[in-house]
Amino acid sequence: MTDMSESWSGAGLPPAAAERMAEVRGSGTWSSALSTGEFAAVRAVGFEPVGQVMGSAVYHVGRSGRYWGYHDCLFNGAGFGFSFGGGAGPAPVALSGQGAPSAALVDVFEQARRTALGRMTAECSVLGGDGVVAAELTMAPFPAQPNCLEFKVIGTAVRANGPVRSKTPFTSHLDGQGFAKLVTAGWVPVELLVGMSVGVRHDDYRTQRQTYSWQNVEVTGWSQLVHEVRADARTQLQRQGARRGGDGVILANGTLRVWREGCLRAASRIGGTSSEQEDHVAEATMIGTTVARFETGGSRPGTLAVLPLGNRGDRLRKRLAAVASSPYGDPAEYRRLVTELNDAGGQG
Amino acid sequence: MTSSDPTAQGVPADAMRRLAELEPGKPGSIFTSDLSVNEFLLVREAGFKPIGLVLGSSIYHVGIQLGRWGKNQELTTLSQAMYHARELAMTRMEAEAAALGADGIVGVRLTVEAREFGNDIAEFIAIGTAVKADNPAPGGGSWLNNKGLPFTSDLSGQDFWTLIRAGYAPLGMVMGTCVYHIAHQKMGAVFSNLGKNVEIEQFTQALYDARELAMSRMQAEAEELNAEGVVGVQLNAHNHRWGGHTTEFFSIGTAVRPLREDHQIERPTMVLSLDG
Repeated sequence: MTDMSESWSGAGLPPAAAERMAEVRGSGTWSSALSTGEFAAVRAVGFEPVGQVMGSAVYHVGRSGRYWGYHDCLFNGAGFGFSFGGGAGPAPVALSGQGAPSAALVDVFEQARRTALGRMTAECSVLGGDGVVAAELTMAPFPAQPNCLEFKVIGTAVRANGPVRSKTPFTSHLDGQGFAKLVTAGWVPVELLVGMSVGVRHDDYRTQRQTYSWQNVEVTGWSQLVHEVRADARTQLQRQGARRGGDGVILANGTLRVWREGCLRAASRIGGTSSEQEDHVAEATMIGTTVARFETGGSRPGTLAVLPLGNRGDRLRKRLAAVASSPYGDPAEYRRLVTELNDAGGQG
Repeated sequence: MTSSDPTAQGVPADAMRRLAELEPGKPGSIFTSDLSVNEFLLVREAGFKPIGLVLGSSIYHVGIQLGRWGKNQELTTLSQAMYHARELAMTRMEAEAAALGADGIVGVRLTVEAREFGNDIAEFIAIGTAVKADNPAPGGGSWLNNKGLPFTSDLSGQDFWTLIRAGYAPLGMVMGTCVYHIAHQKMGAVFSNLGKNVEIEQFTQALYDARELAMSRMQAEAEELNAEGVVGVQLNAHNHRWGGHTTEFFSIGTAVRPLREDHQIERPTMVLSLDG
């Protein structure tokens, strides 16, 4: 290995990665993180692994505070007493998808993720792969420096048997078995996508009144906040999916985070650094893969109802461990496996 | 078995050809779906097309009610809150699906989450995948339920496939809830039972009452939909944040109707998996 002294402009692959790719391509030996089951499944549908590929990017992402101003609630009544602020009408949801200041923050995240994904597909292309399966996209704090995040994506590059090649490799969060099932049923993964949205809403008079009520009451403003943020993340996902095309998006996982922040707008209105008024911020992220339907000459096998005789308990436990250790293991899949494991009872 | 070899059939090549021919889509031409791959494929095979991820949520502030210390009683304010908030989330999700022209919603997850909103406030979320049937329901009927709304079902894609294969169709998710305050034992009773292993009839009765209430409410919802039955019923107790002696009993299931007379699934094949 080199001593990392080569300088790198940020374009193309980092020198260390380029060197590893050249080595792998020369040696004819591939590495992969696929389990035996996944490997067999991928091979069975006519694809073979060509190597483990990775893409990474460290970004500085400053988020909260007045300097960045991302979490501005855009409410005209902020900072006024409630008797006056009430005249400004209900507080709106400042949504990143509609050009609120938080859009800049969402852009940084999107750019970082796209850089990491781009580097991974570049590695895949160098190895002559047609796409990446079991790509795991993670975001972790960079330990040495505050406010720095590492965006990393790692997966296994595969190559299709046959003469046809696609210009851009596909990327997909699906594991080997998932990929095999999809291809068998006549669907090909296209692109791993992340839809993200940030919404900010000022806690206006009505919201406060509702939260202090003695009666059952819906907190309408907050319902609106979480609904709009989720819906926006979904729209972003669709928008990104349409960029390259496809027929649909299969979601891997979706998360929503809600927290409270001192209202920036109210603070600057009264000329201080903080105010008693507060905003609620919601951040929704949805990860998924676009899929496209293809027609094929051969007939597709239908699904068969089966009674398994094998050691089902062990297999389920292995699947469960795999789902639990994956960074965006599907919680629904996890619950299903647990139930199935309980149902299996003495038959395991 | 060479005819079933995907490479010989050109499956990978066909997949790559499609990938190479991809063109940017128009907005709205792409569906989103919350189903896992297995579920997605099974729902397709059952004759339904996913058309979009639908969601509804409600952030709800629960009012205040005190239970009498020594009395078994339903806490009606809390029961109503749990019911109303879930109803709001479900209705919003159904409205989104109806706007997409869906025949139904599968894989619905109805959850309650406490977020950073403060005490007594919780988010009720309903998320599912709206689907449209390729063919009208057998017998020429519609897939919509008797209220003219898309059917809803909390069954997984796997269960949905099995249900359709067996000649049943989901009508809607039905639920019943009861928040119950279980009486504390009276001092005398505590002393008289000291050192004895006995049944505390009072507690048993409280749990019975609460569960029966939740289940009969679910039953009533199913009857309203003219269901033949309810499958996949889960009866859970949630403690939320109300402290000891107050528990929510929540039962939820999918009401179904028959699509045809014979409810036969082809005989399953026995398999032995070699990968485990």
